[in-house]
Amino acid sequence: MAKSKHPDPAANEVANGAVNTAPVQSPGRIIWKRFRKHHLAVISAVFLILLGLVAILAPMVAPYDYKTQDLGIGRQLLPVGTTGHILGTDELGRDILSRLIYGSRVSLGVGFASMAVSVIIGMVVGALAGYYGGVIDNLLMRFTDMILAFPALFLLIVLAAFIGPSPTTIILIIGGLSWMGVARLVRSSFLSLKQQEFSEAARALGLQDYRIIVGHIMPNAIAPVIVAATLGVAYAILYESALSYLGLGVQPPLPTWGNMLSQAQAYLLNAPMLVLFPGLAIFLTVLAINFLGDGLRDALDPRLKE
Amino acid sequence: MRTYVIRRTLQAIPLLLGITVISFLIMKLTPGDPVSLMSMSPHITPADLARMRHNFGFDQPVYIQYFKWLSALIRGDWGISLERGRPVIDIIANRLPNTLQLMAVSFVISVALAIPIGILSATKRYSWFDYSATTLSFFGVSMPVFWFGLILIVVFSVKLHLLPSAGMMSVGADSTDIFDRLRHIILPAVVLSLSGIAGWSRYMRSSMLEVVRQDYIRTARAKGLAEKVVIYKHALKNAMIPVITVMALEIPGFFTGAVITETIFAWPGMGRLYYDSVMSRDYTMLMAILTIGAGLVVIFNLIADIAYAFFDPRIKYD
Repeated sequence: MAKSKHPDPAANEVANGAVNTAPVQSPGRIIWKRFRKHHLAVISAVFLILLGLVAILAPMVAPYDYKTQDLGIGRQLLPVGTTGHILGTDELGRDILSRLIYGSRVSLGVGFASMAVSVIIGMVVGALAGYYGGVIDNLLMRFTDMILAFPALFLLIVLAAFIGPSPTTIILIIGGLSWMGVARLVRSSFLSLKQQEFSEAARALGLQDYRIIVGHIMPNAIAPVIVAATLGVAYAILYESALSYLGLGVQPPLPTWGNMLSQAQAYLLNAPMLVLFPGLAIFLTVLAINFLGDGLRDALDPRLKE
Repeated sequence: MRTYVIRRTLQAIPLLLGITVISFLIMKLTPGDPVSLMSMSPHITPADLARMRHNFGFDQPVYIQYFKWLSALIRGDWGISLERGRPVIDIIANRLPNTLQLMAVSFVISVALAIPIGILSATKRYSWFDYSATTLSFFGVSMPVFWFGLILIVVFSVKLHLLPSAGMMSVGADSTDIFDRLRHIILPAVVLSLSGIAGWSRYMRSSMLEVVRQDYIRTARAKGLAEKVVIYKHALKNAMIPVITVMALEIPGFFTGAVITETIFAWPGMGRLYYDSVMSRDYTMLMAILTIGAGLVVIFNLIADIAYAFFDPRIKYD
């Protein structure tokens, strides 16, 4: 979101060569200064850090275990605000809050791991295509086009159903189907970066290709990838939850926000609140990641601002 | 222009072929063919299984199976559904209109909301309207569709009893009862149009902002035209070009999105058919729907490219 009408002072200082008078500004500081201005992104970052901590410390934070059933008569489908179960219980008398907290582990874990898989594949494919060009570029990019032509959700569903729904396979499937955007980004950065003087210098020094690619060109191509990776986590969380909702994702009793929603659907009439919380958890997390990505884009690559 | 259209169309052919190869391989490489599912039955002997494999052609090399399938596909013989025992093409012909109906209504809702929101956001930049539209579009892309659907069901069907939560028409209703059909299509169509509204309104906004900066808009203002004329006659036409392209690119998304929407609302269309076929491992059905889905993407990519060249004469392709 382009909120500020005034030109960025940090960028100005650099452009005017104000480094002589002002204290030296490291690139990291300039980026941080720009990022700080996007208040929603900062709030989102804090929210996501807290959420991450809750996920890591789940056994300590959660009031109950995710499997623990309150076996008392009438302790199932308890409403919100019951003493002992702040967000109520599900159809088996399990504490909703505890299941949400444990669910965050799988949902966030799958989200981050899928993103990592997709970014690694995307960077390798993009770097090879962009750096070598020619036949390699042509083959890799036509392959990318082909995978892009498939409706992602269709492939996700069929692969998840046929290969089996463990967290690892879900991560590989989601990651394996979402690297194409990163590959295209990296390729186009490489196409222009490899023409620049510093790459020529690296080649003139006789460095091996992989050292030029990894050590010299990639660091300069990384900014848009960071933004894409952030948004990729949001997509992966949405995909995982959609698969789990369809019963093809991570299987119960291990809770994820998606499979909690899928189970809650059967109690739409008597306990509609069951549907509310897992969905809200997905929604707020994905929203925070999207705001964070927006802030990072403004900070890392101001040219991309609308 | 004509050579451009012809060249782009020819380029799409290898892509389409590649797609059929991948759909076919996915089905072949995943563990278990349909025959092995039947081997669960104690009445079937290994000799029966071998004969069935031979009848289906599963004992031949994969590339021969592929070419047989492909040539049949081109001739319009899409095979027999393993689950339903009827020709795939008949079942699809039965279901496709329902999905197209849902897609069309969602498309109309998306366009009717996204374009005006985008224009207003751009012309009243940094107003409260612009900020709320931006925030809402962030909400729209962050909302899990199935959750949005469930919430709508809870509110409009369970609590308010205003709209039905499933199916295309009431049980026993006359199929020509337009009002009944409209009531059934509202919720699924709203759910399916969510991402279109959120995404396209942003595109419309930034495209409009791009255009109003141009010299010919300044000229139009300088010669004293009313602001309305400047925006709606001069700016809008040009701002629509990239938006139309994006819309064409995303129409296949409505087709895919229908898997989730149709599952939530028990809408008897292609999406629901795809999900059911995955569950019953109906390979012939799946290959057909996967190929159609990917084919739609390629065709709409082509349409988007050609539309762009057609509407924007500044771009020369040859």
